Amino acid sequence: MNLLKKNVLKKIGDEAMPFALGIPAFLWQILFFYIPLLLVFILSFPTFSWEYFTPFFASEYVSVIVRTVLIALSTAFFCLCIAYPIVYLIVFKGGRFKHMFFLFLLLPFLTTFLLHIYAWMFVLERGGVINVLLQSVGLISEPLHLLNSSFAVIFVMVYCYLPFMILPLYSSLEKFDKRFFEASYDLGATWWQTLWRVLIPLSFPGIRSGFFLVLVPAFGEFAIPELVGGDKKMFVGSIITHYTMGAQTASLGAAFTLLTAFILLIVVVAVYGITVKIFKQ
Amino acid sequence: MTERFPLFSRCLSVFWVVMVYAFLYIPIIIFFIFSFNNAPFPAPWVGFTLHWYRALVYETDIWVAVGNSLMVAMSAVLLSSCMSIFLVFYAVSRSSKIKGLAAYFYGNLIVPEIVFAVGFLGLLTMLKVPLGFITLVIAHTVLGLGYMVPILYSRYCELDYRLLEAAQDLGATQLQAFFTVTHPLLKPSLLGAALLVFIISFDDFVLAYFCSGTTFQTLPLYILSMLRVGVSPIVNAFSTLLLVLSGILVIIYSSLTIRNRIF
Amino acid sequence: MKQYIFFSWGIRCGIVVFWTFVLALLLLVPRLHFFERNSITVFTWSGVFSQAMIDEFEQETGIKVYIKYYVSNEELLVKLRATQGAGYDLVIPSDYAVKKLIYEKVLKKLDKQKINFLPSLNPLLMGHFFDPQNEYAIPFEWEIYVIGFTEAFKSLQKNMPEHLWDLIFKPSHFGSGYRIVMVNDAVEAISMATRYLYGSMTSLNETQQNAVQNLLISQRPWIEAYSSVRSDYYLGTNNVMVAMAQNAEIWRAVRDYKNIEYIVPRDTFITIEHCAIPAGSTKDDLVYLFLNFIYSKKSMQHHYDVFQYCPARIDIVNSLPATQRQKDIIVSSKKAFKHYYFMQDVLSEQKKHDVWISVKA
Repeated sequence: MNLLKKNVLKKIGDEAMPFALGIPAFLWQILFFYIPLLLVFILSFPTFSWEYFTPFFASEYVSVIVRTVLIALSTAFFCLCIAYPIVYLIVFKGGRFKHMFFLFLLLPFLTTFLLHIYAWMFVLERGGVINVLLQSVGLISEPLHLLNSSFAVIFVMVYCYLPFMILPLYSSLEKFDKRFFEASYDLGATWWQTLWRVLIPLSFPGIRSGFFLVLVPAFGEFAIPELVGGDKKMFVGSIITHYTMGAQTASLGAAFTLLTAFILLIVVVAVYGITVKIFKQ
Repeated sequence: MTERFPLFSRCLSVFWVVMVYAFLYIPIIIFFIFSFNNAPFPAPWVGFTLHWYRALVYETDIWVAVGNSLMVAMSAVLLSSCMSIFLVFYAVSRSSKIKGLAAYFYGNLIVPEIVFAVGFLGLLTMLKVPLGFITLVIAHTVLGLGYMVPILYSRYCELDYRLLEAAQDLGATQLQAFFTVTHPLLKPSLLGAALLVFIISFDDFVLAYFCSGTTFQTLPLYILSMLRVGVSPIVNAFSTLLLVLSGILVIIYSSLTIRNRIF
Repeated sequence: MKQYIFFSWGIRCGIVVFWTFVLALLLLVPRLHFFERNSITVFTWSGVFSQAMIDEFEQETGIKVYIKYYVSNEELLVKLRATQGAGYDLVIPSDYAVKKLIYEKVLKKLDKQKINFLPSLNPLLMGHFFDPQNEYAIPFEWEIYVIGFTEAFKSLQKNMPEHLWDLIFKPSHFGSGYRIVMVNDAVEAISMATRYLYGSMTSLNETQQNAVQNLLISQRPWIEAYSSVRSDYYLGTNNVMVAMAQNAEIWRAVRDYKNIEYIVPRDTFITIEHCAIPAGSTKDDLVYLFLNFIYSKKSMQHHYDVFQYCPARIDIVNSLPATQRQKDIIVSSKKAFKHYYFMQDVLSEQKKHDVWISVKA
């Protein structure tokens, strides 16, 4: 009898110990991630009605949301256009120096992201390097208005989110089997055809994760528009900050956050659906 | 195209590589140059001086902020590494595999930081918890879990389960088997993920702004307040320092890996 | 067998409860306030206390000062309301914020016996509508809004318009290269627009609100940036020609950059920053020590030297490193003060948000 008990206890111990060690991660997640998200939800509907959402259907909020979506999408798109060729070149034409190139590509981003914003403010302003250079060469007579504009916002956002696109693309293209190229050429395809019919579809998971890794944070961005955009145009992130830090009702802030999170979800699903359709043919 | 226009494609490739690297490094180089500017503001160029580097040493605020950032990042990395490893251990010990384990943690990356920050701030306000170091560490650990658990778990799933079975057949207990067999195999991923979480936490700005903005100054917040109020070349000097440091680390790391390849 | 299952689930529940308890404890730790007894927490905006001043106070008295920052008076209101005045020992609100704080009962009455500098404060700064007896708040520094401009603007424009505020709201004949910096605070901008259109108002009806909103929106083509703190930089680097900002900023621009000038409109706005003690503070004597320190002649002089805000003490004016023109402003006469208007908080919270967001949408 004692032996049985001992075995049972040992068995329970064997199972209980990993459980005891492993459960904190789950609890942490529930307590500090899912409950806060639930709270946003609850705060938005304190009276089981849509009352906190109706103010946000006014035209100014709609235009802010639309602008944010467009800028986030363009940022992701430009990041892709810039990152894909360079990662392709590094992975397939880099040879021995592949790793060095890659590390030096990421090196600038090891300094804090805000420092980059500062650096570009400096370069893009009226008396900044670009204008001084162009004026001294004689290409322009009046300094270009680069800073405090939508151009500056997209430009700096692309710069800051580029590593988020580079990393997944690199890991995806690195795993790519070079023999696919050979096989494709053997079957008579040109380089261009191989690119579009073989490489891109096969590296698609990397492209997709990179695209979303840029799109989602870019949607919530508020520092860049404030600093390089002259705080002239509000974005979703600016409004959320505005309401959360300085508003009397937590519910309004929560409601707007929920609304925009939902809109982001729709955009993500739409983009996902469209790309799947294009590449399934 | 590469076959038909080899010279053209070569030139285009070189051009593109040069343009991208220039795009990446221009602000850094300009920063570097103007950190030696002998004026109370970065532009225009007046004269050469090392004054700002000296001033940087005495600027206590920035070093306090760096120290804070380091403390938060290390704590977050430690907490999330331990919890993720033990979670994997638990998953290992189960007879059946939990399919969607990692997916449970995907939310941390999918949900925009700002949404999470709003919710977390709401929770803290409701429970009347004062904002500060601990609340920020908690928030960063959530982020860290979101990176580490998927990485570690997917790496574990790729491992050969027969190794573990063999170890247990040879008489190891679960714990022993895990630490002598699985853990060393997971180590590279663990270190890589830990480094990633460290950088993300050190650099994080949104969560710090919401969950500790006024009480506990981390480096990004310090820089933000400088940007808002008025910059001085001290920031230039600091960023040059940071870059040189990162550059040295990168060179050391790459030389180590290259040596591994040779031997 | 049944026993085994029961045990196993029981133990699991026990483990879950244990860890939940541990995690909840984590949340309680910050509340324990490991701050030393001998410290005070000051909630202020940047530009009030310099590090040198704080260090000197800490060295002299051994009391540690923790400074926490807010960006706008709204943030101050929200935080104090949430904690019912606890958590901070000293706050620095603006005039209209003082009124709201008193109304919300989050401030503590000041013990005038404990402060030794009251007679030397500028009497024109005391006894205003928001705190007629200065029972809760005493003025620390003040600023008026002036218009700074660059040399480029001066050569472009031979004569200033009669109504100087036209430079901000209606510069129609200034050409396309004309750019300004506008204040970045909802209350301030709405206040300026209201006074420009209607003069003194306590609240706005729907039509008036729309008019104010449209005026602010119509400004956008010539606004380079909205900034409440960087106008000196924008002026100095020639990114803008004109900036509407607090006098301290413009004076700093004049001091740090060449070729910047300024002009003071006859009717302009004034903001007085006050010191007040929140109701939940328990460290009164330490706070009064701090107050006596920052109001001392030496500290106020140092404060002016660094930030250039007009000090509340009137007896130190002659020893300040200021030009005659600046001194004249600091000792503005009663007549001049009649033309200095306070910011008017004329809209409700929600309407204010709506207007500001539609201006920037």
